[in-house]
Amino acid sequence: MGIRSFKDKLFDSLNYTVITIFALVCLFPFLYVAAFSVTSYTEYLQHPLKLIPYKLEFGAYKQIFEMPVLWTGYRNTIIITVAGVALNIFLMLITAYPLSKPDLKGRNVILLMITFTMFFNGGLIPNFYLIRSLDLYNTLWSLILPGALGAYNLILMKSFIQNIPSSLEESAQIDGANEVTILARIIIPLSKPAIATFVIFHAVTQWNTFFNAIIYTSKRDLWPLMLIVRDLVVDGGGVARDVMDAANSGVTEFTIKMAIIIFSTLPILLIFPFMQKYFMKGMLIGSIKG
Amino acid sequence: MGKINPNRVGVLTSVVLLTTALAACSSNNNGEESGAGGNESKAPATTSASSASASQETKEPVKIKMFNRVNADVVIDGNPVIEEAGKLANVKLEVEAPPINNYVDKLQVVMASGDLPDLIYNWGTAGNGADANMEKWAQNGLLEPLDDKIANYPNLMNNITKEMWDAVKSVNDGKTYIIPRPNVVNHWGYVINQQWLDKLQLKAPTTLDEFTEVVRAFAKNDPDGNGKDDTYGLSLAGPDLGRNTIWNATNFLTSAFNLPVVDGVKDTDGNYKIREKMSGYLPYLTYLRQLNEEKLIDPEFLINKIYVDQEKLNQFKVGIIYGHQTAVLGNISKLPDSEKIFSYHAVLKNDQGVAYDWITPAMWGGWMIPKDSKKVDDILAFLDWGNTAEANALFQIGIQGLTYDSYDPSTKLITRTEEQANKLKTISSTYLTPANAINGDGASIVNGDTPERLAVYQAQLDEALKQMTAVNVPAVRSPKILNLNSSIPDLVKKKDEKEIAYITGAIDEAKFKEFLEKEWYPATADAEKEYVDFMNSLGK
Amino acid sequence: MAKNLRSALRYVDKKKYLYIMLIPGVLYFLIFNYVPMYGVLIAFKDFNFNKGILGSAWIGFENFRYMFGLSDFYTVFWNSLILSFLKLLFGFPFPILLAIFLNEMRSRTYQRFTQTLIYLPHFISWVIIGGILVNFLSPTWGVLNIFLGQLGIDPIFFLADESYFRPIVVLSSIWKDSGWESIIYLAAIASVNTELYEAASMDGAGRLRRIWHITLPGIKSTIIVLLILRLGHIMNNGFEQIFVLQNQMNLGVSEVFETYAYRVGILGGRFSFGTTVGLFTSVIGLIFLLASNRIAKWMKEDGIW
Repeated sequence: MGIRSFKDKLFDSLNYTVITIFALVCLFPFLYVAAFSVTSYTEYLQHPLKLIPYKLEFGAYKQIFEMPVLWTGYRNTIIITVAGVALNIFLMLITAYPLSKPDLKGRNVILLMITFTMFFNGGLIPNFYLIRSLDLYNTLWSLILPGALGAYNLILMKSFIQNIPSSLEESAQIDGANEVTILARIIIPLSKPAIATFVIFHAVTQWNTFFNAIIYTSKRDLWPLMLIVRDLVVDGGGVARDVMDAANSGVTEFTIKMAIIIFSTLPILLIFPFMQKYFMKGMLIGSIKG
Repeated sequence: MGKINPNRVGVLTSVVLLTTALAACSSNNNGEESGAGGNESKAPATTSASSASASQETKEPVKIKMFNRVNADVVIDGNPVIEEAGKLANVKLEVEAPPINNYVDKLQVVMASGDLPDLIYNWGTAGNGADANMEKWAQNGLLEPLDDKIANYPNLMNNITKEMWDAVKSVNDGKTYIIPRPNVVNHWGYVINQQWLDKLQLKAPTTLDEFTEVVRAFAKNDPDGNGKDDTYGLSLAGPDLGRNTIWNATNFLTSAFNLPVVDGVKDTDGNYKIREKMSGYLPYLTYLRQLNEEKLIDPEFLINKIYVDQEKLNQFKVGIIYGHQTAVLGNISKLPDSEKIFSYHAVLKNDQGVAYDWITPAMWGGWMIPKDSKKVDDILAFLDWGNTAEANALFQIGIQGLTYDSYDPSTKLITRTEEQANKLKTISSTYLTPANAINGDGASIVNGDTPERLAVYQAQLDEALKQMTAVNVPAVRSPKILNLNSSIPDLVKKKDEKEIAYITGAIDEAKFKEFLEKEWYPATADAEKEYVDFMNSLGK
Repeated sequence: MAKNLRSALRYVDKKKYLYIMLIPGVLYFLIFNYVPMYGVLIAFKDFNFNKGILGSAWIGFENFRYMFGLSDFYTVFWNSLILSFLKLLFGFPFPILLAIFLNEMRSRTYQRFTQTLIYLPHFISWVIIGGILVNFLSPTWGVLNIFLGQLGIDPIFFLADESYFRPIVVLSSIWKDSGWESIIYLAAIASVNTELYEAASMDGAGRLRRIWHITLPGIKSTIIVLLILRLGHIMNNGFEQIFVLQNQMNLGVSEVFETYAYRVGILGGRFSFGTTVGLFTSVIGLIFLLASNRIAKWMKEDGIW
């Protein structure tokens, strides 16, 4: 007993140390962005890796709050995130459940057809024609529907459902429940960790959507937040060193860039703590027995 | 799951995003300078106001749908500057503006959609808009040839020089499908840390020997006085794909070797040839090799990405970077009091004591009109108005009362409150201008909002122009030399690698020459011949 | 024949709810993925803006011939493959271990707290991360080299040295995304039946044995499915990451298909080249996916179908 508890303690202390170090390393880039969003650029130049500002400066945030585009962007992003996630989870559940039945006839053909879409895509122009002919051009639907169901996550969801012991389902079948009832009463409650995962995945995907908005909308008041952020922020990796660059207001100051990143990612970061309880071991006991 | 599941669209996105980036960079070096020449560019802008629009005032305003590349800060709906422009030009102006970073993606889709706007901006990889995309669209019959029409528009003919018109003619059929957007003539030189110079009691170098001396002092004599050996003389930067930093706006240094960074200039023996055969090519690389060996140049000078050089200058890590006349004032928005720390100077003199200011036609993309457009004349009239000082001032400085209090066109002095300055950002920018310069000059100077700053700017520009001899370089419209990147991409890459290997000392001169002679010259012989023939035909 | 049809109909009737449930999903893929799929034809055509994709002239395998004819094609091919393989070898197990060890933490509060921290870098773009790394690794001013200097080691020019490029890419992608990728494994672990753990601790099994005999088998099928999907993307290296870390001095190892398509396709004005490269890498990916799925089946594991 004594030996085990020593090994246990050793395990724990190693585990805590390693994870803590890794977590701190992971905190660094975020802290970096956050710190320099409240530090003056001059100070950044002198100490480019110093994470504690001498003097807090919220000027950048003040400027951001006055940018009208960012607020319409926020509204659009929240709409496409909420609607997109709801649609995605619904479609994924009703599609993944039948596909999780290994003996369902035609299942393999459908799975192959779905897998195929991970590799071959028509590209910009045919997709644009499609959106226009479905009358989705210049609507927020054009940012919700394409991508509402993706092969990758669907296959993962299917494999999660397939892992649920079939004995649970069978007992319900004997009671005469049909598949719709089984999905609602047994599969969904048992899939909470998986559903929570895909809520996070799809919410983040939708939150970060920007490319579809370029192609499928022509009005700036339909732009999602990330499209605006990209246009304001991404110039080191990419943009406009136009001929007149110094004169362009398009080139945003370093501090403002950092502030915009914080301003645009903070809300989506908050989704994770809310979903966390579904990842806790043991939370499933109740639903299995109930 | 964004990370592991990169859908095709995503990949394409980033690819084209980067295109834009690179295009921007290349235009920075190729398309920046103008044929207007240094001194002429200071002539006051023409006020031969909108003759075309005057005759139309009785007419019902025509609707013009403009497809333009505009930064995200500008609000398009209910924009007072756009409304004012419509009033002045007697049109009903509608602007559709995809984000600047992905403008090319959307433009490609729009061009394929069969439903074209009335007026389309193209910037492209050439910097003057007449890029491979334009050629393709023209060839596919999407664009209206404009040669017969443009002569009727006096402001277009005045403000757009013959060199600019020549530079955008299609290489396939010689027709004009795009109206250049004239830009400010930039005189590339260098920006130097003046405080370091003063501290070390040196003056801004004008010859290569002086330059070497200053660079050595900056690197070795502790110019920032922190007691540490942590400074370098100079740094370079550039786009990281497709071209070495040493060719990115390095006029200030290559001029000392008679080596133009742009095509279209004769070598010292009076003949046209590709850059790698020019007399200054190897000496320039050898000089860089020495700077690197002596640790006088930022060790990262070959890999710095765009803007990194500027950041290092502002961090007082390096003392010299490339820059043009507005670079010092432009830097104020990054580092306050820039104009008191740094100064701008002309390129270095060559062995004959001449400092050449190679000036290519100054354009910032151009405007295209769809084939068989019913509104061609109205659109051209609008662009004609766009090439007046009135239009240029409206888009660059905004509306009196709303975005500034007073403006003096002769000195370019503007007075405005902070609130007005912020307002301007949300309603206009240089991206909106149909012409960004009138006779090579813009309505205002970046951050030139006090008489003191304007005086600093003017004095440095005058000094530089006095020192330099302007050479107007025609745009090279010889397809093969422009298309080496697609005809021999592997060899172009290899050449870039060899240049770097030589500069860093990984290979010696003999090895480098062997590569040039055995591989590079033979592979480019064809393109070179076409280029030389093209250049020689220009004189006739 | 009629009998077959009747028995088929009877089967469908018996499973009608399942088939009805499949309808929206299948329709979705048909409309949003299969209708526009004719776009891949661009790789075999000389695209004409006026005639559209279907009306443009065929050029057969011209684009492919050009691609295979480039002298550095094979270098790029190997670079892409080696980098992917290294990322797979080191990057793939990391999130699994992370999830397992997070799960072993006793303090629930601390577990939640560290979980939240490790997924933060996922939200910072490569452009920013790249900027931080470049500063950090700089030979003169970088913190790492200053530290090495204090140990008496000469400065190392990490980003210009080809031998450091791959380790930097692998480590930085672990840093940025393994926390994020561990989420799915955490979900899988949460689905493992807790009674098994209770039974194991009754038997006196140690922590490592419990991990080995209960946790790992419990999430095995998730690991396999993710591995197969990942193998399907073996030719994709992540454009943004490579782009921010690539420079003219490490090009010999850093040029991969995504950056190559950009250089040749867009810089060089060969528009359909990007589609060609995309098609080529997709076909390779599909082959890898089908083969690995077959192997999984052969080993009596659940594949992706």
